Amino acid sequence: MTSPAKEIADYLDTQITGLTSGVNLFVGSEPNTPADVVTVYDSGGFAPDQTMDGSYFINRPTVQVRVRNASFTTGRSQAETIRDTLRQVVRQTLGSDYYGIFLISDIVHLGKITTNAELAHVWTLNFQLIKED
Amino acid sequence: MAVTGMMLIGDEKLAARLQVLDKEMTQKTAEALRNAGGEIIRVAIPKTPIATGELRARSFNEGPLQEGDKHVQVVGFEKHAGNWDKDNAYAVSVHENLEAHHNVGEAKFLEHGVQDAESYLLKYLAKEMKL
Repeated sequence: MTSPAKEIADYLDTQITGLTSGVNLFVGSEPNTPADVVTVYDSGGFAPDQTMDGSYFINRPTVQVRVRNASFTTGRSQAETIRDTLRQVVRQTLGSDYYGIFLISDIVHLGKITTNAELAHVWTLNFQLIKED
Repeated sequence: MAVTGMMLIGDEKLAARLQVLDKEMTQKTAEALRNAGGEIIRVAIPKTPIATGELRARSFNEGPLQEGDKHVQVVGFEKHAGNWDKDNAYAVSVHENLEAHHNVGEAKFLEHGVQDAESYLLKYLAKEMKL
């Protein structure tokens, strides 16, 4: 099983100080607590490109990164750090071999939601990944 | 004998013909882009969640807007949402919430519409513009 969201979350864990898988960094499901979390989702993607003989595929999945934080300033800053970290990926192995990661929409603020802990701001970022099969 | 210049016989006719072709191509490009935008909305609508049906009715397909050589067709939902009261606009929230359960439709309804239509729309646009 190769989930792009899992590979991206693992990469963020290694690259961004303060993000730790299972503590405040999750894949596929956002917990109610703590309020300040980052969750990465597989969100579909474009059909793969393939060679004429079908022997080689370039996959183009998409992932969404959702940032939730009680502090607008901290959350926004964290979203920017994630954006800047992922868009620097060119020809790197993050579990799978990635050719590049591209923003398909910039940071969107979705407003405030109520968690079990407190009111928190939510942002989303969407990325297209270009990766080998 | 050295050649110092060249005159193309009929160059005025050629220029006029090129202007006609340019106009025809612009019209054809505009029509193709409008059709492509309409196709994206057609594919996206069945994917759009229904609570009251209001969201589906808020789709739009506008353009093409022309800036120099660039033609831009804009498709989306809630075109004037920026001027609405905050609570009246919800297309972005519904589109981006991947954990919401919808009995009909799905999150990313517009994005998935673009993804589904991408392959044949690129071929269609190339054919219409004779690329």
